[in-house]
Amino acid sequence: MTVYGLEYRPKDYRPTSAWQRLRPLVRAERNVLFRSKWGIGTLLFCVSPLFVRLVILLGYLGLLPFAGRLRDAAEDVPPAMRMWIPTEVEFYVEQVVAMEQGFFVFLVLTAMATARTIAKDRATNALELYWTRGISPFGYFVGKWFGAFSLVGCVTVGGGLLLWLVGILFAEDWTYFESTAPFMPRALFALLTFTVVMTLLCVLLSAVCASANLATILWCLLLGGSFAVEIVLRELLPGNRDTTAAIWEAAATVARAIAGVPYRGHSLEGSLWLLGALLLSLSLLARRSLRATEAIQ
Amino acid sequence: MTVELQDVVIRYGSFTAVSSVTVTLPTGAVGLLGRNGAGKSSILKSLLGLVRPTSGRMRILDLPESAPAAEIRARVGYMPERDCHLPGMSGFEMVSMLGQLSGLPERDAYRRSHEALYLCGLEEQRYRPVSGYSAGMRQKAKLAAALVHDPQVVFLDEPTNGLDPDGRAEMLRLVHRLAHKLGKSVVLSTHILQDVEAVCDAAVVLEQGKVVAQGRIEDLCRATERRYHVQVEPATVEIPDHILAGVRIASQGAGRFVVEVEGDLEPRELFALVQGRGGTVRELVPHRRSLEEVFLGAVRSAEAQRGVSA
Repeated sequence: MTVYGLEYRPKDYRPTSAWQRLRPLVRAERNVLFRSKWGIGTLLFCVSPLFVRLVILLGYLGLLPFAGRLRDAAEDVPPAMRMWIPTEVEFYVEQVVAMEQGFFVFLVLTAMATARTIAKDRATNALELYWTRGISPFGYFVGKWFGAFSLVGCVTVGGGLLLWLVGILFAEDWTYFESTAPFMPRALFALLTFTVVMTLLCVLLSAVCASANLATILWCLLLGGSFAVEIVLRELLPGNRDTTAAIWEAAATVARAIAGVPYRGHSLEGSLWLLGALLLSLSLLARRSLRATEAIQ
Repeated sequence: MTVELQDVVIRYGSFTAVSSVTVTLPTGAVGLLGRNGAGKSSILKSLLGLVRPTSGRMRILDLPESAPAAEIRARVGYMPERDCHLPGMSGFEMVSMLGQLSGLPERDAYRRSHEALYLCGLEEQRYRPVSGYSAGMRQKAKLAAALVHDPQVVFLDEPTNGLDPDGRAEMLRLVHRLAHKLGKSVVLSTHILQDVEAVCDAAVVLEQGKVVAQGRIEDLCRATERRYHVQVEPATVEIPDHILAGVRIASQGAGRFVVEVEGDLEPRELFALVQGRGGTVRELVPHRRSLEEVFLGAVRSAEAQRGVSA
């Protein structure tokens, strides 16, 4: 008995809307790391700092043996150590944006997933398949970016939010909530802004590269190389302590400004200009390289 | 009518890719023939809504000229010439995703991709990554992706590219089935004339952006000059070049020859002549031009016309 046939037959259906069509793109991009052992390994590596923070948080809340010592230490900490105290905004923001804390994790995550997103489609001529479907190049870009943002955002914004919710749920009283609630919306918005800007830059760079490996290398060079440029500029211009050339630090400065975390050594205006100029120039290049007329050659 | 082009001109800057093309592609299988740069891809691009024609009118099915590109692509399936796939995906994932991007609801896309892959003979390999497919399997996967959203018209760009003889025969069988059993209108863009001859009912020959021949293949291949294929036995019978008044031998070899006739051929005279030389006529059939001859003839006459006008 045939349960159901696989014969190709006429199909009546109501076409989905333009936005609904982007869902499979977003889903595919969000799940990109779950397709291989390497991807899952990368994701586990990238969430490992979150576990460290979680242990600190649980300890601070008295759920782990070293709670007392941690609370005593939190009473009077120097500013540089505030990023380890769960009732300080730095605990949630710096874990993502601080050079020593979040840079390497972010670089690995974006280099393995986000930077390859459009470049690998170009390398396999998949753009021809996409653009002869019911989506526009802009829709395709939005879908790809949002998928990449969802993945990276799960680690950056989702991580911070998860820590906060765990803290509220496991705390004995409302003290934790009362001390964190005033800054948490701003902190989450700062993380959101940081993730949006960085993933946008990364996907735009991916859109102008011919291969996934090239995109990964260029992204690493852009983040790492801009640090080198900043160091050189600081040497050349010793009087100007607010020189901003490192893309990572520029985005971190903007995030810190939003979250209300003190930022030193970088100017907010300079950071905004740098990020704006980079976004604009990469957008123009990406727009050119994603033209629909290039789909069929 | 599948596609109708009226005085369509497509220019890229100062370069004219398609020059005042007026053609109607009927339902069924139609071959779009032409050398590289003849304008085939430009016509496909504009039919898919990727390029706006500089002037002229263009219609697909019953859609209005102003129909949005997404609406056109929902009714049209396109199989690209180049090797292309969605990286990191299995055949099933690729086809269902492309179905959803064409407007199929998610559940329908999943079911439909099974059907399309089954139709194309990939039912056993559908969960394998496309990157590990052979050339023939990738062509089939592209065809399945072109069919997943149940389009009325399918544009196939060089579907037999890179296939071995078995794969080519299988692909042509599939295309034939699409056009003649499943009721799809197929536009086959290629420069392999045998493919068009094998599966198409009609053909359009393009040369330097202009239509130089079009019509049903049967009509195009019908003899314009009076030629006959003759087979005699035994093969050793010698026939003179001018065997009869107004009849001459165009080519000859091993008992077979082609005769060109100025007026009407009187078979009895020919039979008698061969019999007089100790042989028998075993076969006498009118000469049918191959599509290759039609193509070359059309292209050469277009070249000659350009030479005269220059």
